Amino acid sequence: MSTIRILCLLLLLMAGAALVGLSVGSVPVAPGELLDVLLGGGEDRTRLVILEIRLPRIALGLLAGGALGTAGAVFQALLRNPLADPYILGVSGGAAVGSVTVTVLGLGALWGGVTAGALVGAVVAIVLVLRVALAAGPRLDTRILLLAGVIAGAFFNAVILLLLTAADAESFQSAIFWMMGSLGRAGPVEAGALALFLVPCLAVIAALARPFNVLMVGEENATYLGVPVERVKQAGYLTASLTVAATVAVVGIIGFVGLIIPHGIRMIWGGDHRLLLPASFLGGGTFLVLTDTVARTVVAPQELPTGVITALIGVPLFAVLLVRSAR
Amino acid sequence: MSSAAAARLEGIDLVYRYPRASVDAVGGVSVRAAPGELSTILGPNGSGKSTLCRLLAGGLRPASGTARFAGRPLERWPRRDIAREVAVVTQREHVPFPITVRSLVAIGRYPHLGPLRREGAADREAIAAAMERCGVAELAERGYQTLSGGERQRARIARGLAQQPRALVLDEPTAALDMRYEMTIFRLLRGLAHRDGVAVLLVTHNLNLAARFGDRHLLLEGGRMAAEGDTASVMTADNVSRVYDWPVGVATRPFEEGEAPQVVPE
Amino acid sequence: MRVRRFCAGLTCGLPAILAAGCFSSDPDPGHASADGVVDDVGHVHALHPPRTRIISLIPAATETLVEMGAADRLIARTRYDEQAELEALPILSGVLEPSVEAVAHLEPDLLIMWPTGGDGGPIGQRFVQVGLQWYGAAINTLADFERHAANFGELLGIAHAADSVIAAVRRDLASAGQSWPGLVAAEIVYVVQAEPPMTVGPGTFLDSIFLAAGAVNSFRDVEGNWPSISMEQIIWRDPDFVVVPVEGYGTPRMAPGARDPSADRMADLFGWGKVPAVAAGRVVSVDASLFGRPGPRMGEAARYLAQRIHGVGERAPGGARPGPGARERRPSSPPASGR
Repeated sequence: MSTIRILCLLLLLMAGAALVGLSVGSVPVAPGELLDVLLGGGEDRTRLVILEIRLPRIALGLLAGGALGTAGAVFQALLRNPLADPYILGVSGGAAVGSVTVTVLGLGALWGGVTAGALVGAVVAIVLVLRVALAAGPRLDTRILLLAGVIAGAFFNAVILLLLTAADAESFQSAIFWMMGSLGRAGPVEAGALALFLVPCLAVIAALARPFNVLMVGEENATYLGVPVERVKQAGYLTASLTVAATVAVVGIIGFVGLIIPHGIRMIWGGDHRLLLPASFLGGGTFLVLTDTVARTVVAPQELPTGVITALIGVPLFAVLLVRSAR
Repeated sequence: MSSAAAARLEGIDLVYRYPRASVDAVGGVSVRAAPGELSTILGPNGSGKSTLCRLLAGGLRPASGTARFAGRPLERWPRRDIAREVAVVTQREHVPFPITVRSLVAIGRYPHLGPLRREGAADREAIAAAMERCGVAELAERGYQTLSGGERQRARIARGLAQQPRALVLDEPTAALDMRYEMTIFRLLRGLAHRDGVAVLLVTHNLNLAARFGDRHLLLEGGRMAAEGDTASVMTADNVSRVYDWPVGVATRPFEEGEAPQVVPE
Repeated sequence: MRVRRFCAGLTCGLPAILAAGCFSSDPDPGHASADGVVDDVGHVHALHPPRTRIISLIPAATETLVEMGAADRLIARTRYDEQAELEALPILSGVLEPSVEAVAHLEPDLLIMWPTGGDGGPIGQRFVQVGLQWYGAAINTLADFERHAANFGELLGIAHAADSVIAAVRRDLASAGQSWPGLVAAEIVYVVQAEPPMTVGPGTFLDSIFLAAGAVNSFRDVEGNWPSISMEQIIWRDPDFVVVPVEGYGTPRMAPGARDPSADRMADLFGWGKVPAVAAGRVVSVDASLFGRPGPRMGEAARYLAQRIHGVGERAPGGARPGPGARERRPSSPPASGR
């Protein structure tokens, strides 16, 4: 299959996932009713549920899943490490420190308080890790970057625990749930802002697809092949980190998507980044919307945390792919 | 021959010392790889072969002296421009993710395409020709990681050829390969030099194959030139036993490529 | 999640919610016998001698003990115990687990702790190893409260005081129930947590408070003590009131026409702002510690809630309608769920 065909197929899958997500929920909505609502009619209460609750949640799922899938693929390419995921360089830890700080200081009620705190924390983490990695020498050594990121992550975890000891019961609880991640906490405004933020980041990442291909054979070889390795690494690291920062700020820490989606795409269609990057976006969005749909319907009217289902469905799926590709 | 002379890869009085090292890894070495010739760099472990290779590939910048291609110092070549002229096959590489042979070879088109241009007919042709030339065409859809060592090296050389370079630098491409693979690769490189007019520069430990297939040789010892010149002048028992610190005998043997001296350790 | 375990045993307030689901209430219902009482983890506690050095790591139990007049027998407290009588006591724990060493050093003769995970978890085992046969109290329901209060009375040798506390709670709840005669019970959603939405399931002490206050839990059909629920279900079920426990809110009387402090906050939250009750300002803030503790103040909680949602005794807050009866009720069949 050609790249275009595969991407069209994934786009169709994503549209299907969005439709499934819209029509299924703890409140039963008949297909005719859904159509009515989408055409501007329908009962008020149904309109509220479909347009105000499900639609933003699905939009957020597509964006967040897509961003995490793409960023995961970028980090795996940059660090040349199959274990890399969007959070490996401490961005999520920084975001968590930011959000927990805001929560513990009681500023969470301010508009965008927690989101802004998370964003600031994530950006601080990005700068910090990059500075540490560059302090070792003029060139960005990805092994040092990886170590710096992992160490920073451990440090942030300690800071979070420290902050939590100072928290009252309510902030403690909301901080914990913030870290578990959820697609239900943000509305159309946040989804729109995230989309606007992601467009330039993903455009830069898309332009780096072929250099990433070359980086697969190692930095020295890539240099001999004419790739400006340092510029590619720094641009890739910054844009992917910012992508993750914005995503985490809005939906919290949703794990697993960014690790398994790029691997899954690689196993099925190979590792050419010109396909891998857009396919990881489409696949990540589709996967997250579907798992979130399961999370919010399987025990309706109750809900499970999205992360539980991403792991419960993702792990076996991943294992099957792994066994298949190992053959 | 002005165009051929223009495509020469050469180093003049190259000096390089690694950070925190107390001696020069390469101390005043001149070397050249001319179009149509298979030039080899020989020498014991640690004699500076790979460092010299990196200096000539532009991966390291010399402390003094110049490395240049077609008369222009490497640091004045834009990276992508030089990559269209000089291809480098390093000692080894680790590819962390599954990749097909064709994709690996296609990477060689990067200097021609840059980050954004689409692969065209000319690119596909260059990729196919390179795979054909290196005997990996039938492995095109195989995973690189599933190949044997010899197949991998040939795929990597094919990637170098896909760059359609005028000079090809290889750092021990046959290390750890069995006899048959080693022979195929030497034959391939000799063909590239003699038939396609590429300037081939090869680092190797195999003195006998170097003597048999190579046109010019540089023998290194402790980062300095111990001998330089054509096969007959470099491959003497005297040179080899001095540099390798082991008594050797040298006897000339006929091959289909012609007569060549062969080294036998005592 | 590790932190989840830390907090579980410490308060019966909100953090206890995080522990919910880790245990089922009453693994082995405690009961008094001739020579001792059995707690919720099966430890047998002898009736003699009467306990005089008590540490309670459960604020609800602490409140009960103070109400029984045993404040002077407490030798330490948690960060959540803010009674004036206890102010001078050393603080042993907040969100984190208490230090085993610090507790053992105080040599309590009664240590009351939430049986996290059914058996108190690793820290419970550590206490047993250092010779502290702690008292496990999983206080989830009104009956749990009464049973443990009675047990405390026996162990402290002040059974009569326990009996009168229990009786007072019953009386308060009953009087709250009489404060709204003739009105239709209001459907409420109790917001244990706004994001992700979490409420209280049926069968806990909160149900007893709601019942007495003339309120019905919109999510009485779901399982578990502290279920996460979907936003769309909240909108669909369209409760009459949204009740929001607020840390440190106290129980102020709302001035007539005043707006509830949580109304704007809830309206600004994504999803919640679309719930008709929130959009109409029918938001009721309640004191989180008052509603989070199955202790002697349950009657006070019920009276406050009844006053806020039925407007009994005073005008309804925020100019809201006097009661849900004024509003067209939908058929009262259980709200749709599932697909």
